[in-house]
Amino acid sequence: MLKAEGLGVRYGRLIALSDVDLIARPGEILAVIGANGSGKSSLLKALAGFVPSSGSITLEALNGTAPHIGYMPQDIGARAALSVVETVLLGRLKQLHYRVGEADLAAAGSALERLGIAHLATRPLGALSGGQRQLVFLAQVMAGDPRFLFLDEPVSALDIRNQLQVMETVRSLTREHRLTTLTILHDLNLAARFADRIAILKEGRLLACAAPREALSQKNLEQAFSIEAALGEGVEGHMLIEALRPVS
Amino acid sequence: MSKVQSISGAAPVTGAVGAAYRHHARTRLIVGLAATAAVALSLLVDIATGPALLPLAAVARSALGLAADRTVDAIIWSIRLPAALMALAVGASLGLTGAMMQTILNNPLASSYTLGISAGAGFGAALVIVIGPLLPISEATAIPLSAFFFAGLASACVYAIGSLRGATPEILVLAGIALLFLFQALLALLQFIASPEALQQIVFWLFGSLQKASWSKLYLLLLTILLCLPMIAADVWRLTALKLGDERAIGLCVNVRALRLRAFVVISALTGIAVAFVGTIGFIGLVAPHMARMLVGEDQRGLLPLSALFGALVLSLASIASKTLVPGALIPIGIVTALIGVPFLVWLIIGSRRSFW
Repeated sequence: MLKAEGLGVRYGRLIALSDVDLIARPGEILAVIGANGSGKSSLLKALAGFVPSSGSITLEALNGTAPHIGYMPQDIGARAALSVVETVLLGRLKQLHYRVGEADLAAAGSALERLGIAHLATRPLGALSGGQRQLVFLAQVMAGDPRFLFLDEPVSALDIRNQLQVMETVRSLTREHRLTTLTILHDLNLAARFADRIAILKEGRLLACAAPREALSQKNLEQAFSIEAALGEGVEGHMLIEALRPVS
Repeated sequence: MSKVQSISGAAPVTGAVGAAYRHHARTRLIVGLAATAAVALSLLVDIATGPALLPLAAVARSALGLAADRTVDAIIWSIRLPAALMALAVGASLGLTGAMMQTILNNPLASSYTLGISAGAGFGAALVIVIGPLLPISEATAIPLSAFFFAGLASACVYAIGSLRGATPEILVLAGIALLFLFQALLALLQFIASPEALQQIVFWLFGSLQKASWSKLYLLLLTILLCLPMIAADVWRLTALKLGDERAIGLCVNVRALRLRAFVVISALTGIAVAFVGTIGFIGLVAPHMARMLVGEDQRGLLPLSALFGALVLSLASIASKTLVPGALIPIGIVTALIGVPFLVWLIIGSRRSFW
């Protein structure tokens, strides 16, 4: 379980995040949405302990295991001359010895297979498309066997099929392994379809945190994104959001 | 409470990924063995070449303690072997530190030469040459000490200036370039005020020479390498993670600032002591990592040892060339490495049609 109280982040004089209270439970996906610069990435980095923050953060893993965090930043522009399997192995940095063990190779192989990219294992990272690299970095996070998944725009470079596949994989991993998953998404329809709850940030403050139908109200969308939106229902019963026009 | 399972063990493993990885590791090993064999051969030829050309068989017999001729033994053990082994040790140090520098600064143009560390050593040596008569110790001792001190000082300044702005690669590179110009200006000032004899000595030192090698200097350099190796080996995966960028490395729980500081300490020690004994030798730290990278990529477990091997090989070949290019003359090694290194680097970057990466 993850619990943040009064969380704040400052970069010099800039206040990126202020007084955020948040709870995320094992087995659930919490999507974080908001306009550009609303503090989404700062929230994930603060929760992972990668930027100094004020307030309190509690991470409790199931069965008293170490609260290992798998963090995937949004940058996919890595130019390292590494093969895909070497890149994925880095997800197990804490366990790796100079000579790679069978368990580490098996973990990397499983993560690649689960995302359907095992055939890329020996390809150089630099020869992959942006979308393929995004899948590789997700495999890297998975290979580390995290208990908390923090994903910063994990599908931003993917085509529509891969977006669905990755989000379904994230959902099944979260359910099967009782992970606590926080993911930043820009696509409101993906958030509505795959998240159990949605946290909306506006100018560094938490505007709402609730189930999709409650969080994605016309009022909240107008406040968070300054848009007028039409809300409906898809053929499978999940919520659909259509942005109609910006409002001043 | 539900049982916690492993994510990565959730899907069946076909073993194809493991087999592909092992094939890649074998390729890396073969490249390493081939480079080691080339270094050994180059060492033999380097020992054999000189004013008196020795047969390779005689060199091998002497190295194994089987030589019948005491003159050959004396030439090899007193003069050529220390110089030839020094070429390997200095080349390996410069290749290794060049690769580490390029990794921690995420910049393929970084090396101790381009970041002012060698310039600092050059200034230190020149300072002793100019004020030598005023010192209480001999110049032969003071020059390497001063070169080592100023190489370390330059390195510390680069890191200290860079740390004022978060020790990011960009800031560290800019700080290094600033230090390079500072020490070059100070060196020019010393050359301007030096006597003609001192000026000649400074210029000769800056060219670099393996003829200053001795067994004691070689042991000191080897000891430094041996002390640094465990530190490098402990960080080898973290250095690989750093190649993915600072943010991703931090995401993998790497303390990026501490890692850069540790790497800087190793680089300063190895470069400082290597340059102090043989003078400023450029391009090894730039060329060797590029050769290694083209063959094995940037997994530092392969890149760092192979950069050291290629550094040793290139300097050993340069040593042979310095003795054979002009019959009867010994061209300073720094000039040879630059003459060979520049076109070779251009070929590597532009002319090479194929690389694994």
